Amino acid sequence: MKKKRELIAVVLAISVFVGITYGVGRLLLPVRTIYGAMWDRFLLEEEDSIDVLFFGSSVVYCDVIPAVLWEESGLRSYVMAGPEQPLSVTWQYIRQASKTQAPRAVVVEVSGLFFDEYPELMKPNLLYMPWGIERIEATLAGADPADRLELMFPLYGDHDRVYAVTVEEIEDNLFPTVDDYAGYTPLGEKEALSVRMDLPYTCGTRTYDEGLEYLHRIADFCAGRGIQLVLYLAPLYCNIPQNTLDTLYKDVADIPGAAFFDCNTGDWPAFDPMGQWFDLMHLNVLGAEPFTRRLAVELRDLGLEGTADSSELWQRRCTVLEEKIAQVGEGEWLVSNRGEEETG
Amino acid sequence: MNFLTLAFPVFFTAVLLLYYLVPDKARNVVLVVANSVFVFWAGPSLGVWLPGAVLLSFLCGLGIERGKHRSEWLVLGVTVMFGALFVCKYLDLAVVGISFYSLSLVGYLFDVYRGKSKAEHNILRYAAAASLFPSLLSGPINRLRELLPQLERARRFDLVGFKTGLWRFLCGMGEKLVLANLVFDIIDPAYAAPESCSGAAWILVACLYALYIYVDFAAYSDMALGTAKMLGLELTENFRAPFLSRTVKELWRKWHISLTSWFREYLYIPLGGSRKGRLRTWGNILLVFAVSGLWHGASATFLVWGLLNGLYQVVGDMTLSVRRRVRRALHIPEDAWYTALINGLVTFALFSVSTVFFRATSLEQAGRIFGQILRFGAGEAKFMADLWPGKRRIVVLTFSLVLLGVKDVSTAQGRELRLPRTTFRFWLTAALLVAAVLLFGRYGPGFQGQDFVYFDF
Repeated sequence: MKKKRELIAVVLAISVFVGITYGVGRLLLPVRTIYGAMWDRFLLEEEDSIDVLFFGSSVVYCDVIPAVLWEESGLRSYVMAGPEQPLSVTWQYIRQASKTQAPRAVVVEVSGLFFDEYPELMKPNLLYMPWGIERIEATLAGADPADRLELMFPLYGDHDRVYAVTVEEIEDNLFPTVDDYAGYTPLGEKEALSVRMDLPYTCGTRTYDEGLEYLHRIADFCAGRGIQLVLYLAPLYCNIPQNTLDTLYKDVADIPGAAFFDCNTGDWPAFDPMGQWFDLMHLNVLGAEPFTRRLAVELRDLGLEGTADSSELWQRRCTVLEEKIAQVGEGEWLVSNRGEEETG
Repeated sequence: MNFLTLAFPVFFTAVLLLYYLVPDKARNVVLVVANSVFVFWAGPSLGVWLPGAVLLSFLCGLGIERGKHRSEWLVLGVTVMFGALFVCKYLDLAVVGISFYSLSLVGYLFDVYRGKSKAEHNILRYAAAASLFPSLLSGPINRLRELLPQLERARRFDLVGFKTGLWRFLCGMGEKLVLANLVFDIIDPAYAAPESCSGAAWILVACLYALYIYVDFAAYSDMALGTAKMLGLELTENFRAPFLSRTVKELWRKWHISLTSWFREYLYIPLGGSRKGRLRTWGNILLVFAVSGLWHGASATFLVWGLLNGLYQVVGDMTLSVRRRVRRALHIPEDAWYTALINGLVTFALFSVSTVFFRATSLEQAGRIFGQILRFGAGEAKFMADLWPGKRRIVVLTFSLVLLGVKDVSTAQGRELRLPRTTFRFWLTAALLVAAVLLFGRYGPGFQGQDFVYFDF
């Protein structure tokens, strides 16, 4: 009897400890409202209300505007990308997101195939993910072993937060609000580009091979749920070696049921190097708008039609975006984020 | 690996399970295996010499007991132990824990030589005691004559003892991660750039550094004693509220007790102690404190630190009757609370002055620090301005200091550590304590003060 009481007390104490440390740890996290991986906000979306989910790295949350896609096609979409997101994490993001949404299409940007093994900026992808098997698997598969402890135990990684956090931040973490941009991060600055950068993207690396394996898993997952899988390579003001592209085209063609398009080919819009780029790899809001419109056409060609939902939420999202674009037109750049950018 | 690495709870849980699940006779085997794993996990340097030192002292102990060439066996053992310690200290070889276990093993040889304890004939038991992992890195410096009998007895799992050990471990963890590390944040920038503050600010830093060494080392000792207690073993207490002392002599009776008592037993008393006149006594005190300083490190700063603490005691002895006469003339009672308070403050101030040498990288730096202390009004405002943005830290620091004060007053009054009474209250309080420590503590990537001060010695 005494042993049993002791055991119950220990289990209770461990539960209290875990509850406090993870609960408080979550409240202390810096509030995330831009640059992807905004799970709190995503989870506020009405269940099964999204038609298309976008995944990938910063080239997705900087280039794809769900409000424009809705306006153009009626498709309700959400961007659940994250900075320098490896495909191992994308796979877990898709599994996690599918718990609350039943999308008709999943769109994955494939630059992650060419990232470093442990990209520098990828930690927020995992820090903000809801706790569960998906987060643990994503951490074990995608994070640098040296970072795993702080990702599994966020208080350890950001142990100073209790001395810096503000009441407003705690409030925002406690009561997150619906994202007016549906996961998109509007970039208002522009960079005048002249010379295209040569990207040392190569196939056959460990990251590439593993990424390809995850794309196959994603394809199986989508096929099992009747979801259209769409893969694409985002527009870049860069040169990718032709042999890399050839291998990539061949490899993605082998993925069953997946549509693929390279947005750098001649039949895609050529974005103005003097006004539509934030930097060599990311479009600003003036470039993202036409890009998304073109994306809508591609999705429509795949048979994805909107549900003619004219909800207040999507109307508001369009209005908010229009206001932002107007601000840009008047020279008020939207996000001055150079120096702390996570456009990885 | 040390007590505050994530590997430790995993390692220790496994050790505990094995230790209490195997038959009593096999417990020392588990301890030896655990010690070995800990040694090699702590760093290869520890594993290189420790097994040799344990084996040598074991053989020397047997040699001394056999009666023939007793002195030669003692000299061999002591020379090799101290030779290795000397080489490591003066060639600056980082052999973790050598200062601690060398004294423990040499003490054992002297005990056998003087007949205070029998030589241990069971190598397994000896190895389990001589390399006991909770005290391996930074003490307490065990007396094997006290530890070996504990390893001979039957040890059954004792829930109250286990909880006492766990509670002590957790309190030690809190003292280190919250109090010591928050103090570290204040003192480290000052010592890194002595000119950055001056006057009253430096006095505060010097006092905080004295407090830091105490809390840091007492925290480590609490964790070591707590760990051992969970294994059913009692180690030597290392601190008994030293900053509540009224004289430097009293402070040193309560500070790093396992070291000071070692020097008293194996150096001060053999030198004649206080039995051969006042001059000889004072000379012995200075010698013992000089050696104690050099035990901490082979540098002039440690020598001065040791000598200064010896000198305080010599001067205290010299002036004792004068001070008493002055107090009588001024009608100041010896046992009044304000006499105790003033004496306590003076003792703490004197000790804090000495710790400037303990922390300084050279005598020249110590000189510059004292120069800064005398420059009042030059850097206090900036120091306070730098501190103020961390006002939440100051609140937590103050609260932790109050808790430490309560604990030390209880210790000074001889009250035993009391655990939360009911089963549920104990485990719930423990969980809340750990959560609070993790929440308010300073640790993790980017924090510079992770290690314990005494890991360097």
